[in-house]
Amino acid sequence: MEIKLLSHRHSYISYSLIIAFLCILSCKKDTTIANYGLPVVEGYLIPGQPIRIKVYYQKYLEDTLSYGYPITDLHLAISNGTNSVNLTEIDSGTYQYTDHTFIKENGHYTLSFMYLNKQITASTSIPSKPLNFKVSSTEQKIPTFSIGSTPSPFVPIHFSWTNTNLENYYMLSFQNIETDPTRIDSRRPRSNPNMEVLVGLVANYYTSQENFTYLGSHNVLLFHINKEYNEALKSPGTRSLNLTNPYTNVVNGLGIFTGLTADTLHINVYQ
Amino acid sequence: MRRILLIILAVFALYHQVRAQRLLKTTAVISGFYTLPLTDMLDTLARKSNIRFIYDMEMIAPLQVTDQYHEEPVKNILASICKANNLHYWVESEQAIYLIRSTEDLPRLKKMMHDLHPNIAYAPKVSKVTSQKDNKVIFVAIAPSPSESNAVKKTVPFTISGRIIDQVSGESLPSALVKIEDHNLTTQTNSDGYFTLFNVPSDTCRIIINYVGYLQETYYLNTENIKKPLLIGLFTAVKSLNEVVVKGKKGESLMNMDKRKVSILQISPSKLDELPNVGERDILRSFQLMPGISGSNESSSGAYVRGGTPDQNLVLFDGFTVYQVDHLYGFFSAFNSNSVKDVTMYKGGFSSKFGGRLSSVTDIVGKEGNNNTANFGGDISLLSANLYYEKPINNKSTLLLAYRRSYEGPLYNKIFNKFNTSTISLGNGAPGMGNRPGGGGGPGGFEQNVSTPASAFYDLNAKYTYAPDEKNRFSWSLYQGNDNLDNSKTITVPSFITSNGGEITNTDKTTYGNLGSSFKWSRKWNPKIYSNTLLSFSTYHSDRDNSNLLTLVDTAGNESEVRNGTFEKNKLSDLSLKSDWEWQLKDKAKVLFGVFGSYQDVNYDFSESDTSKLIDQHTKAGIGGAYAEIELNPNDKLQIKPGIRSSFYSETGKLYFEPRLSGSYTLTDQLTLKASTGKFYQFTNRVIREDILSGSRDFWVLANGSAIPVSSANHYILGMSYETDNFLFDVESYYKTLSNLAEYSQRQTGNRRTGITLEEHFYTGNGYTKGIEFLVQKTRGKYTGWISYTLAKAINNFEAYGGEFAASHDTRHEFKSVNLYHYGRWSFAATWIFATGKPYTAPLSSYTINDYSGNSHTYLTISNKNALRLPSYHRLDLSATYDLLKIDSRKVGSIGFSVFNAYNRGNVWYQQYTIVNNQVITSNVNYLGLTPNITLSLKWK
Repeated sequence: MEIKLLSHRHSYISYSLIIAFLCILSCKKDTTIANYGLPVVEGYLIPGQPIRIKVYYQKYLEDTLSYGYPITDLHLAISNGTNSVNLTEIDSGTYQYTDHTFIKENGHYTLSFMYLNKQITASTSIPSKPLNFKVSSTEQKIPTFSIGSTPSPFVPIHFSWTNTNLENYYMLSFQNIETDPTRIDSRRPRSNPNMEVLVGLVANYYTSQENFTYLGSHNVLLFHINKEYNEALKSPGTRSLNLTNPYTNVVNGLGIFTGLTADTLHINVYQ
Repeated sequence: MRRILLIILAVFALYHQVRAQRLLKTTAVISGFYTLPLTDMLDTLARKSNIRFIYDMEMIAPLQVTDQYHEEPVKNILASICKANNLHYWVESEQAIYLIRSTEDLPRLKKMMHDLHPNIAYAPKVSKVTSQKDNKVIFVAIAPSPSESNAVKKTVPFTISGRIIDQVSGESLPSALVKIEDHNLTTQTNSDGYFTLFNVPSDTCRIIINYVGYLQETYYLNTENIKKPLLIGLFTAVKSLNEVVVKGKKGESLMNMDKRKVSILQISPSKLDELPNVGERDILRSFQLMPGISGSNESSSGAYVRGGTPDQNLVLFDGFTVYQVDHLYGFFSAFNSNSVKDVTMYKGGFSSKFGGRLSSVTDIVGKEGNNNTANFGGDISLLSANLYYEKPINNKSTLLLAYRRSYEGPLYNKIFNKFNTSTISLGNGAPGMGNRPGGGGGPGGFEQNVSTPASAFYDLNAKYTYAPDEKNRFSWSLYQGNDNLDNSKTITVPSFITSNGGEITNTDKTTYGNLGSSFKWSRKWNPKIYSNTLLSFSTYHSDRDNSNLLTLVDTAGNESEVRNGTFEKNKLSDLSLKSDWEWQLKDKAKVLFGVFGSYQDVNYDFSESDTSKLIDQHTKAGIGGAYAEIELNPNDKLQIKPGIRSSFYSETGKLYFEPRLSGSYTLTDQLTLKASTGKFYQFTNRVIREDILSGSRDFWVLANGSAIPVSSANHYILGMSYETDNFLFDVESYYKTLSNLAEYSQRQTGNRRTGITLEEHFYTGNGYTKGIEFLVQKTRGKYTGWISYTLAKAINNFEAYGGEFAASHDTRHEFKSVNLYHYGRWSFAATWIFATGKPYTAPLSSYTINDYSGNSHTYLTISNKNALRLPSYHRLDLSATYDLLKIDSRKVGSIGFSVFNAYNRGNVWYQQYTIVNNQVITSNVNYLGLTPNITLSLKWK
């Protein structure tokens, strides 16, 4: 009996001491706050086209907005090294410079603006125009599929271009140009009729059925892109348990500011 | 499963009826008609069988015996007398039997015996002993002493050696403490139970033997028995015996720490049923209640020892390395406690005998099986059942078989559904899920007919031991464990879509497991030299098939199949040969040395749609080397163990030296100081995937010296322990540096419309862990248990993550309280764990941009690596166990009731983020809530 009493008394004392110790130590708290002050920039510079830059706020995790709120009343300037031009806000958060001669192939451009007392900058170069963009056929057949029959195989068409030493990045954009396009699979929801494929450091591409969701006339644009475009947009979006910060070339900000140049072919998609 | 239970019960009941008294070995028989007081009858039995009976006169005196016997064995008579008078008997040794009414009587009688006559166990011709203190009389019915030696005392110091075994099963007992009473001569048995003691001063000495979970045994030397190797049998402890307090005796606690050893914990599988459990007794999980081993990882049976990861813990089962220690996502450990004899964990600064891991060693010795008599038993709980069978093949060899598997009991759904539902919701993000069968469309719009198959795990142990003579022992051990986790679904395409039907099978199947086997030859060359040579083989495999199979039947009745998805395979094979030697130079020095060599082959591939292999790794490497360690005891107080281990690793072509040193100094009888240091290298790493539910959880890779460097660690440990009769106070502090740690991640790029590629990234960095562990353990009495507190820090430093960050398993404070209380046949346990929440990386905000073609992309911005902390983890588990005892007081089973997470704390496992309607929804995935369980354990003998 003595043993028991002793042990219990002993345990109580030890418990209280340790719990008190824990309480003192657990008062410290970690503080990690999101840096909502970083603006999101979206700007694609194409020779011969006016400059249009969008600037957004980031979204809170619980926001249901498609895009962040636009950031207005900014003073955006783009410099080509010798001249600097100011952009005007044509819509909330959308800034434009209408002179389509300002962006030139192989030029180097820097965007800058002040936001929350910070200088936001991003630089890019305009790649050279793609060369020898060709296609094996301008007709792409999509096999019909119905349950109960074996579908005929999809026969891809082949695009090719010049990519010396495979050192340049390319992107293909399939753009449906029908006014009222027909969906290939009527059960799938309507989506953007344009889609793009980051093909990377290659010089040719075989189509796959997944490239097309609509039938009819398509422009196929081959873009010579910078590595930054490939890095920023290659990920399908951050996955929940695979957390890494997305790539950006915007200093003190997020998003993408990059130059691209394109060549275009035309194909018809039918079933 | 019910059938198994019924079989166990039926067989048990049958043998319960016919079973003779096994433990009592006398073959004496009695004939005649007896009508006399029980005390006289006991005298008669004592004379006939050379047995001494010890009993309380008050209890026995009024009892009479009236019966007729014809050539009736004494043991049967004893059983019938006990049954008729509601008594039990307890066989203390072959020649002493206690008669008791309840188990509580036993310690009382023993205490009286001990107080009156410390030497009574072998004292001859004492017929009546009166206890003045208690004013009670106990009687000892005594037979003529078989060997009352009148030999001359031997006084020249001599050497004795022998083996310690379990008296009932004949199993050898490793790491038992053997001590000469009243002298400072102590040793420990080796893995086969052998010991040698030098300079024994006299042949009248007594040897005291202690082993976790067993009763202390006193063995009396005499002129005869010192001439041959001793064979000393121990009896398993009965809970109520804990009340007997004998000075200098080691506690019968669940956990034992040798105060002279640094960072070593020993656990007794026979005591595990007293602890609360989720499924069944779990060896590795019980270590998680010890200081320095993280207790807040429900999803891993692997040990996070002092800031190390489970892959830095070497797990050896009968000498071979086990690479997969988990069943069912870590909720169960891979080892069946019925096939385990002894488990020792080295938390750091371990001997140069072990190597290849940075943090710790868990050394598991499998049971050999009963070499006296065939026996079987098993356990059944709400999730799993196991059976074991042990049999002496002949007088030189034994066999043990044990099998365990899960079944769809009440706990099945609770645990498995957690994974099934989570996997479904996460599955959309998994690479394979994006690949719908060509044109087939999703199942979303159908009226679904879904069937989900079962998941299961099993493991199997077999061990055959052959001891041709006292010097040689051969044993072959096999372990196989497999998990088959199946979240597949078959969706029948409804008939309104097609008149001929068809189905979509979504396969999501993970199988993983370990197969290992070892062949061991132990030889005691002479009392001073002992060797252990082991050839072993171990393979680990992990396969994940996450794919869709669309089966269609066309109008002509032809079936066609479309298969799409991802396949991941990891296979590791390890073939090893090692030879460990012990050479006892004299009583002050012992040398351990040995050589080792192993060949490892690791494959990992990740393929998509059966055709394109996205990752295809094959590495082969050989490791070879030697080690030596000297255990020096220059005086009674100091023990020092310098050692060195050197390994050659073929992949890097370099030789690695690992110096080690540990020592202890006994300041007083109660106070011991200890310290340890050493260098450790690791060549095989396990890579943990961040995204545990959408791929294999982990896989093994071999260091290649470039992308995956050979990692190394330095340990510095200082400690102190203070032991009183009932308490042990232990403090240990540690500092561990880790170099060349590797982290691996796969980044998926592209999407289903553009094709998917995987990028592999290996990041390397360094780290350190430090901490201090406090332990107060009550080692004896009705109430035993411990409280421990660990203050720790585990920091990693990876350039890729911008410098220092808290390691994913970093836990600042950890408090554990383990309380066991014995009351008669009942034992109650309550364990409470508190741990600081684990660090994690979380999204902080999101943003959406369009690509040039106008498709929107949403990204999450992420906090610094592991910058946030989950809420604190705490949990209370309760259990009550009732022992099933035979009439001779031996335990033949138990019924255990336990409640895991008694106050249903929602402990967060990890956070999950899903983007729905542009909104990032954070949901906590919790560990198990309140989970009750019942376990029934039975053995035939």
